[in-house]
Amino acid sequence: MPIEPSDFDDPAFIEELWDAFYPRVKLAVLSRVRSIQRPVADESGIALSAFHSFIENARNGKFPNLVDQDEMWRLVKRIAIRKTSDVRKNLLAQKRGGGAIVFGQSDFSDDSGLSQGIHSASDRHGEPSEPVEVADLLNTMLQRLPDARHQDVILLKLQGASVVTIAECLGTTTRTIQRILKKIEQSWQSVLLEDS
Amino acid sequence: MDALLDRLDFLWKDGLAPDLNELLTDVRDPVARAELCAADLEWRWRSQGSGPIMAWSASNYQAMMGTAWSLPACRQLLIDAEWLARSAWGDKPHIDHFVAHHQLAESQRGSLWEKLDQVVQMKLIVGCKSKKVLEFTVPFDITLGRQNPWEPSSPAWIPDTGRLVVADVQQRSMSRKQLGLRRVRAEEIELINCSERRALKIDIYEIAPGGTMNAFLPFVFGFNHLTISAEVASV
Repeated sequence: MPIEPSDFDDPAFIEELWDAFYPRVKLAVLSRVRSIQRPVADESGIALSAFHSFIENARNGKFPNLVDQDEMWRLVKRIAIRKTSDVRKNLLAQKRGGGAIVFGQSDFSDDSGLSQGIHSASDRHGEPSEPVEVADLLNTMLQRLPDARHQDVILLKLQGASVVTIAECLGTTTRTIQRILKKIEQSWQSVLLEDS
Repeated sequence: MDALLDRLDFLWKDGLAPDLNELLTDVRDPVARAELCAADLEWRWRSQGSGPIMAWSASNYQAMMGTAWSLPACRQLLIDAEWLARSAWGDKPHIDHFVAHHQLAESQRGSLWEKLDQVVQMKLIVGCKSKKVLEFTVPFDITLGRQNPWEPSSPAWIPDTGRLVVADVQQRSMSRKQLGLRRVRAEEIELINCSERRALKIDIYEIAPGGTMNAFLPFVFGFNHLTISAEVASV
C-alpha cells in the first residue's frame, strides 16, 4: 500500500519515523561531518535538518511513490548526505574568500549580522596565525605536565570526552581522573599567571 | 594514597577483586580511607558482567570506613561514588528514589546532578521553521515559559535563571512557568506541567495539571512554534 502525503500529518507516524531514522542518519553522516570543522557542522543538526526536509517534502507530495520504510530511509540518507556536502562546499567557498563567513551550523545557520564580501576581510584579520599560536601554547603546556598519564587525560578531555569515558580509556576511576584534572587546572593557572 | 589507588586499579584491571581491608590496614586518614572505598565501589559496579547485579552500596563500607563513616564529607564521597557508578555502569537509579533511600537532604541533589554531568551532559537544540536557533548544555532543572517583560523575546535561553523563553510577552495563552524539565537519570528527563489548572499538550502527549511525563534521550517535541530536541551532549 503506497504511503500518502496525508500520512505525514499523523504525529504517531512521524514519531515512528523519527525513532527509526534519526539515530541512523546521525551515524550515516558522522564520518562525513567529522571532516568539517565545528561549530560549522554537527551530525545532530544535519540529521534534524534532513529529517525535517524529508517530512516537509513528503507532506507536500514531492515523493509520490513511497511504499516502505527502506525507500524512505534511502531518501532521508540521501538528503542528509547532500546537506553535509552543501555545508562543506559553503565552508570551502568562504575559505576562498567569497560571500559571508559561516557562523552557524549546517542549514540552521543564523543569517543575522554576517559580513559580506570584502567587508569580511577586516573581520578575519589576524585569524590565520591563531590556530598555530594555540597549538604552540598547548604543546608548551603539555610538556610541563608531570607524565604521559596527565597528558592523556587532558588530551581526551580537550576532545570532549566525559570523565567516565576517560576513566574507562585509561583504566582508572573517575575520582582519579577528577584529581588529575584538578591538578592540571591548578598547574596551568599558575603557569598562565606567571607568564602574564 | 596515589600508590594505593594505583594498586587497587591494577588489581581490579587484572580481574582480581582486591582485599580492601588489607589495603586499608595502614591508612589512618579518614578521607584517604573514604577515597579507597569509593574507588573500590566504582570498580565493583564497573566489573559486573551481564549477570544479575550485585547491588553494592555506600553502606556496605560502613564497617571498613570505621570512624570516617561518621564524617559527613566522607559519607557524601561514598554516596556520590555509588550514584555515579550506578548511573554510568549499573542500574541507573532514579534521583528521587536514590535521595529517599539514602535519606539525603534536598540540598545534596546538586552534588548528584553534578555527577550526572560527568556521566553524560545533556543539551537542548531549539529549532524554528527548520532553522536551528539555539543550542546549549542544560543544567539539571529548567523552566520553559512565556517571556517576562525584562527578558529577551522568544526563543531565548537565560542561563542565570535556567529559563527557556518559548513565547513572547503578548502570547497570554502561555504561562510564565509553563513546562518544567529536569534530569532524573543519566539519559532520562521528566517534563512537568507547571499549571495546576490546565492540561498541557506536547505533540501527541497530554500532561495533566501538575502532572509529569518521563522521556528518554534523545527526545524531540514541538512546543509552541518551536521544535526542541533534548540530546546527549558528550560521551
